[in-house]
Amino acid sequence: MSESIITIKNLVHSYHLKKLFDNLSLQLPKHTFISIVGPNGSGKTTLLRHLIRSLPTEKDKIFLMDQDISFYTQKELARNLSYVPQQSKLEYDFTVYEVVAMGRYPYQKPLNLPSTEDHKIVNESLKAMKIEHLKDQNGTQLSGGEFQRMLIARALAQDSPLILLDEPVSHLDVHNQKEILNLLRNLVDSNKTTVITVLHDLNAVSAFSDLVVMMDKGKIVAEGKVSEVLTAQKIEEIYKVKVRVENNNERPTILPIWN
Amino acid sequence: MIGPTEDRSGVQTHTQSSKLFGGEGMKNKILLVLVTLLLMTTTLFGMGSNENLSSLNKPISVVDSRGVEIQLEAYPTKIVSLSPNITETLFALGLADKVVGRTDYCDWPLEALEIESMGDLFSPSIEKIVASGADLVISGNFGQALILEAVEQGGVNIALFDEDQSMEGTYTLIEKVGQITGSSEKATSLLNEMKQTVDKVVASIDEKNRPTVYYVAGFGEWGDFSATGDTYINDILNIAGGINIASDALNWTFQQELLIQSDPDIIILPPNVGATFEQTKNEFTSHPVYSNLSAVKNNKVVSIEENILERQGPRSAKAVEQLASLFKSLM
Amino acid sequence: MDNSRVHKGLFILLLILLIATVVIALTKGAASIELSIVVKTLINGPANDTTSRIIWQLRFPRVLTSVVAGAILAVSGMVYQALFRNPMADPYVLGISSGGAFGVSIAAYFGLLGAAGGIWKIPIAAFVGAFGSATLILLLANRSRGNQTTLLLFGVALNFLLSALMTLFMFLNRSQLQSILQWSMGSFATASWQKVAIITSIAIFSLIPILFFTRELDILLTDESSALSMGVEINKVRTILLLFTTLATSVTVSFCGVIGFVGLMVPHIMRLIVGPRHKRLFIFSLVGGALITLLSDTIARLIVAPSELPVGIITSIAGSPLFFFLVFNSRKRSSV
Repeated sequence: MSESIITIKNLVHSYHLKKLFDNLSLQLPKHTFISIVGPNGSGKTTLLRHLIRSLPTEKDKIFLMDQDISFYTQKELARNLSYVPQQSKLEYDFTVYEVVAMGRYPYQKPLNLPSTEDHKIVNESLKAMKIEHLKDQNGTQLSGGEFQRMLIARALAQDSPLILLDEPVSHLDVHNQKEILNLLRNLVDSNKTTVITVLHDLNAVSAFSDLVVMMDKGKIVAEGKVSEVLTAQKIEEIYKVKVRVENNNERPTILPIWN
Repeated sequence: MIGPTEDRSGVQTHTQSSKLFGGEGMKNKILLVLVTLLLMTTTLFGMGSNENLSSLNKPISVVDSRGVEIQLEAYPTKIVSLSPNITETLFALGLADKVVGRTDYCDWPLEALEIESMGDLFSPSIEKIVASGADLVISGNFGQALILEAVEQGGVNIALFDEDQSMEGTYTLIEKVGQITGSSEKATSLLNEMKQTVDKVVASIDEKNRPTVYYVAGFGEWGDFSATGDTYINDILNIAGGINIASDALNWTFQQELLIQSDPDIIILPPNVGATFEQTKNEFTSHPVYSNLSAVKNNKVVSIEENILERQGPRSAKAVEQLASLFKSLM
Repeated sequence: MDNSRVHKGLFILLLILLIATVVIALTKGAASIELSIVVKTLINGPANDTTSRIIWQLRFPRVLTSVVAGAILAVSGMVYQALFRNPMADPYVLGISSGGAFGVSIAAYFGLLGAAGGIWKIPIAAFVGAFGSATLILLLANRSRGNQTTLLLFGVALNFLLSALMTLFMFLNRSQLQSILQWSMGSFATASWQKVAIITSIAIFSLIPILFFTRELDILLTDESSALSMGVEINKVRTILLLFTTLATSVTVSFCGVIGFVGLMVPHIMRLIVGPRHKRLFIFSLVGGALITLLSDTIARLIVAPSELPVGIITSIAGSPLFFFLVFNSRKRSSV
């Protein structure tokens, strides 16, 4: 078994007669915190959608745990990969527990009641995201931070070796950002889970990631350690913004020059 | 009957004016034309609106079923009928040569078919009606009220005679049509004939042997419909000596349960559109629910020409007569 | 979990109400028959006298048809609301109602329905129109690769088109206009044991499978990506559920005409009372739909007896205030 969790070979993606991905290739290792960064429209979300098989993909292009994802059944895929979307609303009065419990779906048979194992994992997921005290609360009445934790807890309940997140903290205050990113970091450090997340805040990327993948216009323009990728030159080139980078302990601080 | 008068007022005025002003001079001729046009226009407007005339005290005045007082200078000479029963009435009153328009459904008497049709009952051609030169358009149904209004816009006199859904209403209807057309004498004699016929029927009814009857307006998959208490047919059925089991119901709707429970002696089944009586009867008698009715088992499912039963008009007394003898023969 | 005990109690209450209403509906009717006679007739089984025929041939099948039809409409509405993620969805959004009415009006125009509408001719014409329309929409949507909103919009467009066509054919066929219109307003008056057998089999065949998909229905209420990533085969689930509910609703429309309100409101009402989880919502919608429809039909045939009102009017008039009341009160709740 190789060390890669995700391998992408020559992925092509067209959209309205324009090519977004042209032979995109990528290999990502297990048990790491991987951040995907890049300007809006660079293809980050599209990449994620290919990974969760939300977009049609040819065979032999994307491999999860060394197996072509085309050959996974939907539930098998769900047991190996979970996903937290960029935007999600809850419009019905499910309790927090009920929402998180939906994550056990890949392990359940129709008409069967949830097992003890299901209950255990759901509770553990709630605990891991520090929302155990909210489990009987109406899911539509949570704060932004609580809601995000609930979604991540649901993904955790899927008990998958890989979690994909699309901008999980962009709309949260800095306290919640820190809390949630720390929780994700802990998952990688303790559970040996792999986290792949799209993030906008370059400083957050710097503080938490093991690996950074930088994209621009559908191409991977940089891949590697934080200090390798988040250089002033690269940032200016891709984001068209001048920054000052202060290097400390391989986790640089990026300061945009506003005027 | 007062002689026919076409509206020649404009022409006559013109002739008088030329004598007043002398025949010479372009200016005078133009003035004359203008004055004539003015007078014609005023008269035309006046013709189209009854309100203007009410102050003028026209010789003929009849209140129609809308409660509107219709005032005419003279009895109509060209009449358009928008309802089959009105057409029948006009013919029965001897006004055949005055009828210049009818509807597709006006099929009695046969002579009526020679008259030009203005269209169907719901959307006849207003233009055609106005173009016919009619001086009176008569409708026999409140449902045509909007059509009448449109005709009135075209400047033609209108009248709506839709009376009580009863035999009395039929008499009133014939009377009023007689009044507005100047044939009250003929109307009176027709009415006397009809009343005689009806009286004869009523006198011969065996009160102890009146059959219960049911009129099938609709059956089967479409639902059950009958001549309920608020209908004209209900009155006819009663006068003819029948006891209409649907007389307590309203609005043509009737429940199957009651039909089964009442189990009427006689069932009157008019043939459905586009089918013969035999075909309709077959469908009715072979239906699992109706096949158990006594009237079906005793072969007392009969028909009578739908039109004379439904049209309030000169043939209504005949309908009563026919029904009464039909009932007698079956009991 | 306090709630579940309350819910169990509520369910039993609903069931009792339903059974009670069935009994009352059997004993009451335009033909007033004494209670003791009704009971005797029921016990003795179907016989050939008038009373027995009224109870066994007319009332009993009618009562059962309204119960089953109500269950079908409410559950179908519940499924449609989840599949389309749209609270305004009801089982008619894909053109089933307008398709059914159109089928009837065009068959009537071409004289295919016979003098009295024939026992099976109208239902067949309606079914072809109803099921055909829905299938057409689904195929179109499939080819256009659109999402749920696209599907809904196709349905709206088709509804408009079919309604207009139906009106055209009714206009050209004035003599039957009233009949067609009346039919489309919905009625259980033409119920029979044969129809009961058919509609009940269809109900069992179509509704039981939905029980196997209650988890998927819950998950489908979130967004597409989440549902996919949680392991739901969205296309397969949607197709199966749509197929079953469309079939059942089409049969209902072909036997009973278009009965509104039940499919839209009953799932909402139940959701406000027992929450959104489909495992519970299914059974409550089923019983709730059956109860409301039976009640409405019974009122419809009693209130102006010996005449009858179209049942759809009663369902709307009775149900709307109830719905208003529930929505109003739910706003005050702070948590489940």
